[in-house]
Amino acid sequence: MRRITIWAFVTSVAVACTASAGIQVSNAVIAEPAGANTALYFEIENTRNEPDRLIGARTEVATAEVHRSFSEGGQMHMEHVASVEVGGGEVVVFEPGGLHVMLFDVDRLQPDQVVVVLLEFEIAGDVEVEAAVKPYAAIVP
Amino acid sequence: MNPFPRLLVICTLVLGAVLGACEGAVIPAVGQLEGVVLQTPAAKAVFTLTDTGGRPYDFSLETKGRLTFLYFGYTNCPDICPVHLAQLAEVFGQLPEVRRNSTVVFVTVDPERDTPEVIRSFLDAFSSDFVGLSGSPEEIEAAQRAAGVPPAVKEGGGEKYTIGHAGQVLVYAPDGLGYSVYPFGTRQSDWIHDLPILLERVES
Ligand SMILES: [Cu+2]
Repeated sequence: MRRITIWAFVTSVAVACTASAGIQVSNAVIAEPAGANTALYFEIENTRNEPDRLIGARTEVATAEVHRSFSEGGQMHMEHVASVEVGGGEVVVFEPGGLHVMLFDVDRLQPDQVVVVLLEFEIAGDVEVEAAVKPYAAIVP
Repeated sequence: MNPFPRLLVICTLVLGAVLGACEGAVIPAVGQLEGVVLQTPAAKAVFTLTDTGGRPYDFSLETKGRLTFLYFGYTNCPDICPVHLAQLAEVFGQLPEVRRNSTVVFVTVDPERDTPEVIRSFLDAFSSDFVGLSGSPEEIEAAQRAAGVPPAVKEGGGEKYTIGHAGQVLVYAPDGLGYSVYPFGTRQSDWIHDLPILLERVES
């Protein structure tokens, strides 16, 4: 069982990986929208020695903004963030309840549809990412 | 295939075997719950709002004797609210007995944008059985106070405003008491563990 899980993981990383000028983006998924908006999640690895910054995102299916959800004062909040630093050699994870690319007024998307998103980095420039659409229940087990 | 559903099936089978072995033994205590256990059980919130069909919905009356889930959220929320609802729908698919005896109530904290139609179509993405409620801002604030959660606050300006709101799902057992709450980060396996235990809590 464990071997199957690891193999499935390795395969999905191999399929969904995008590399550009030291920035590697993997495991990109978009939650199948239930309302007007949804979110894009992924992992960014900076394989260079210097930091880079995610400063924005673009896609044809929605208006995209970099956001952060956080817990404060017994409530959950969400805010727009201007940039997210990825230190040299570091990995930053965008996941439910934390950093995400918010997709406003998103088109109708079907599970397993693949959506192209451009992540804008200060140094690496535009990094093209292919994100698979998945139901929320498959993203948060 | 995504590995998670397969893992869940196995978890369910294992859980089933464990519960089966316990049959006739003591019902697990609420202290063994995976949720955040309340020091003192909470009485069910009392409030009346309006459902997506336009009818008044007396929360404590309509959900009497049911395993009841109460959540305050808004449909423009991309990252917290849909996760809770999706997890409940997924878990119900695996626990038919729990689903038959449960009522999920979603109360909007964004009555300005969340019309009854918008709420209905949002909830239908998870389950057409989920109940959606709205009301005036004052009524919605009173419902949150009745449930013991800090009232939601509008944040940021313009059309894209967001809303700070309680992130936990409140659960009341069939006996009408809340023993535990489920913050963001609760896993499907936590729900699968706790719901059969809470379902056993009936009025004696
Ligand atoms: Cu957001």
